[in-house]
Amino acid sequence: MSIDEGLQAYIQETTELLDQAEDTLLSLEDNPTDEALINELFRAVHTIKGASGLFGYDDVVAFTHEAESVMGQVREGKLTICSELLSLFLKCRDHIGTLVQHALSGEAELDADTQATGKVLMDELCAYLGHEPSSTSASSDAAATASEEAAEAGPNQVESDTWHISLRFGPDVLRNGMDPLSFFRYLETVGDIVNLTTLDDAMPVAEDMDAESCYLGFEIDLRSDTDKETIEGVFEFVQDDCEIHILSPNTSITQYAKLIEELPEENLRIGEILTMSGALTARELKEALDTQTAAIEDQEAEGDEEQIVPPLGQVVVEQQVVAPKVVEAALQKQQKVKETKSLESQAVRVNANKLGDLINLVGELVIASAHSQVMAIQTTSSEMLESVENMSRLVEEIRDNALGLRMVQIGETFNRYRRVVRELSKDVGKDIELSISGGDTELDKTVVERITDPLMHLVRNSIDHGIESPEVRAANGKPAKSTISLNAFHESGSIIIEVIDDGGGLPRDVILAKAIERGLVSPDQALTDQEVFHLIFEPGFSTAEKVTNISGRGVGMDVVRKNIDALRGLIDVSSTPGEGTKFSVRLPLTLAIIDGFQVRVGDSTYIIPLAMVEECTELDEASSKETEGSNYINLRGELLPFVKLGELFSLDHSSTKNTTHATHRDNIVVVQFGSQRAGLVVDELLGEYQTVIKPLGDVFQHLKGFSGATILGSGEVAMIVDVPGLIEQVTRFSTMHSKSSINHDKSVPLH
Amino acid sequence: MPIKRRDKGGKNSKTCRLAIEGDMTIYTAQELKDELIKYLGKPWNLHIDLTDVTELDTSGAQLLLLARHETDHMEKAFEVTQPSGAAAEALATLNISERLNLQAPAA
Repeated sequence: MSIDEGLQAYIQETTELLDQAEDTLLSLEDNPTDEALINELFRAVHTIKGASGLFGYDDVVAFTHEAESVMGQVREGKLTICSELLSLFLKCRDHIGTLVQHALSGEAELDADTQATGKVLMDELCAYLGHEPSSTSASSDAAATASEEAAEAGPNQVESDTWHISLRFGPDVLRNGMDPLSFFRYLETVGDIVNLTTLDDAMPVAEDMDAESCYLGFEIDLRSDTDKETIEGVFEFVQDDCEIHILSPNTSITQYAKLIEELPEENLRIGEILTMSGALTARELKEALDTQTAAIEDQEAEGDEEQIVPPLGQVVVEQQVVAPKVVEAALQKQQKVKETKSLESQAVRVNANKLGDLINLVGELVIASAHSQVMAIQTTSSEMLESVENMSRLVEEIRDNALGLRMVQIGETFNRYRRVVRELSKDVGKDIELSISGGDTELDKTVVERITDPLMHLVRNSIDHGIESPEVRAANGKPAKSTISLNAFHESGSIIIEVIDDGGGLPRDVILAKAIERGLVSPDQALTDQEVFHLIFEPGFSTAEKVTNISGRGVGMDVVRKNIDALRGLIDVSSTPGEGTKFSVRLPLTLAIIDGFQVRVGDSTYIIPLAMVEECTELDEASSKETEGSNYINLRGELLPFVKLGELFSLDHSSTKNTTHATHRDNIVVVQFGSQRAGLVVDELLGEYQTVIKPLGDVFQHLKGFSGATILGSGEVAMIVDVPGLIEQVTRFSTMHSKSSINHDKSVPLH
Repeated sequence: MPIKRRDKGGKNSKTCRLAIEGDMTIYTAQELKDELIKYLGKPWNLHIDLTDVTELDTSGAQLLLLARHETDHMEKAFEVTQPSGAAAEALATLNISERLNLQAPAA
């Protein structure tokens, strides 16, 4: 692994771990006593620290160390999770992220802001740890680490000035290609190995011994002025496979006592080794063992008869009972690590660009296959047709599979908002719960990426404007706890994402007044609720009386709509006064390839996304006459607005030239988008067609009515009809006819 | 055969002298162990010559410790002699020269 690759892995790993830490923290909010979560959090932060140490990012290590210490206290039950602590951890998590970014940027100095944040957080952390903030503000160096542990230790310090490292390698270390010898050689570059004792106590009898398993343990005394992280870093690659204990110089006797207890060999043997190697003096060892005796005594004293201080031998016997348990725990831990590893190996990481290339190629393949189909039809050879048919079926499957590769669940994105809701609701003093459903709904990764920000806006907006203040809620007899729901589900080729709040609803009158004031609508215009609510998506429109730091600046909602438009999506808003507001965002499942419905208008071919086609019906002579001059037809008793594509795209002249009126028969394609339906009048229906969407160039950016183009099998270019845009036009067009309203330019000149 | 017996053998010999050749690493560990085990658990002293050991890693050292264990068990003497440079360095790093009763090469 080269340094670059290593760094890549580091970046990816820390990003994932930070995300994981955030998730865990948010889950902890609901289950503050869940030990598994606390452990998970601790592990995540610990791993970040370890990895950062390996790359020598001291700033990250120093800060992470403090955070980890506090989390350690939580894990040991010395601190309990409370809201403030969670907030602090969340801030720490962000700060670690910043520090990591900084470390990666390669700049030497932290900017003042980051430093200040770090200082503040550090002080808060230290308050939890109960030591002087000033002494630990830069505690990456060994002295500080040592002094910390010394501080914990109190007066019972061990005299030796060396690090003590106990290693018990797991059986698979050698098999995995690790050689403890090479670690020791590396360790020599970190410090002076004063003493190294190889323990072969675990060696089985010759028959049972597996030459490829490792049975050895090591006790090492290292003289070095480095810090614990560096030493841990040496054993980074075996840490899953090895029981490692590192004691800093001048640590307490209690620490050694704990070590002795934790190591699998019997206590006296360990004690012997420790004294022999000079880590402990005989007196210290006795004290250590006494500490243990005392501890055991404490445990047994309850409800016990006169318990005499057990002789040392008995302590050892006691300890032997303990030892297997420790080993068992270690084994279980290893087992768990292995299980998660095997889970990970079921997924393959693939560079997003490679996937993008694949999808592009599949797109070309679809076009090529359509071309060969056209060619095959011309040959009129039935064998040829059959084989081409077969191939296009396969191509279709490949297409679906390839697109499926990019599908991700939206749940991860939703989870991000939990943090936002938590913090913002605190800031504005509202008690808000985020409920999420449909997190397993899948959609294209590129869509997910681009919908994240608009959704964020909607959520922020709901928190700030949508939900009323607790006083107002109380006055209106609503429960103090308000809810914002994020729902996702599939509906006819689209995915729908809803952001629902149970707040006060949109103030129709205020919006209307503001719109009139800004000249967006004229005062005498009669607008439906729907139309009024849609005004909030106009640029610069804000009804908030005061600008808060969350929203209200009037930027946002128009950006939301622009982003959603760019995704060929649609945003809809509905609101009931006093009950809440619902934003629904409707998005296409994918941006690259769709099933299209090919139609002919005049001499041109157009594609209508098939998912939006509801039915096709004939516009016969009679109804054609009936509808002359109006834009509605009567479809089985329902009023259906329609538009003649030929007229809309100014194609009517050429089409009437080619087709005589007698034989001409118009077709209506009924399309539906959201709750709205409209008819598109076309000359001919050509059938289903796999459509690879080619984006229109910048020149055509302002062209209305089309969402893209595609290449047909014949090599011709066909435009893809922008159904949502057209529906909007058609419905507005008809309103305009009857009421002569909003002053928007609706004509779409082409050619 | 990476392990050669240097003495004449026979049922009455009190000391078995072995010489190991080539690498004593994880790649050869299993093979070495399979051979070595033939000489273990016998009531004789064990001398192992490491002159021709080209490389020695932890698994190799572990085999020597295994042999030592077994002779301890039989209450017989064990010694390692003439380690090659690579072997001597590894044994020194692991600090097991003493445990293996390493006889310093004659000056």
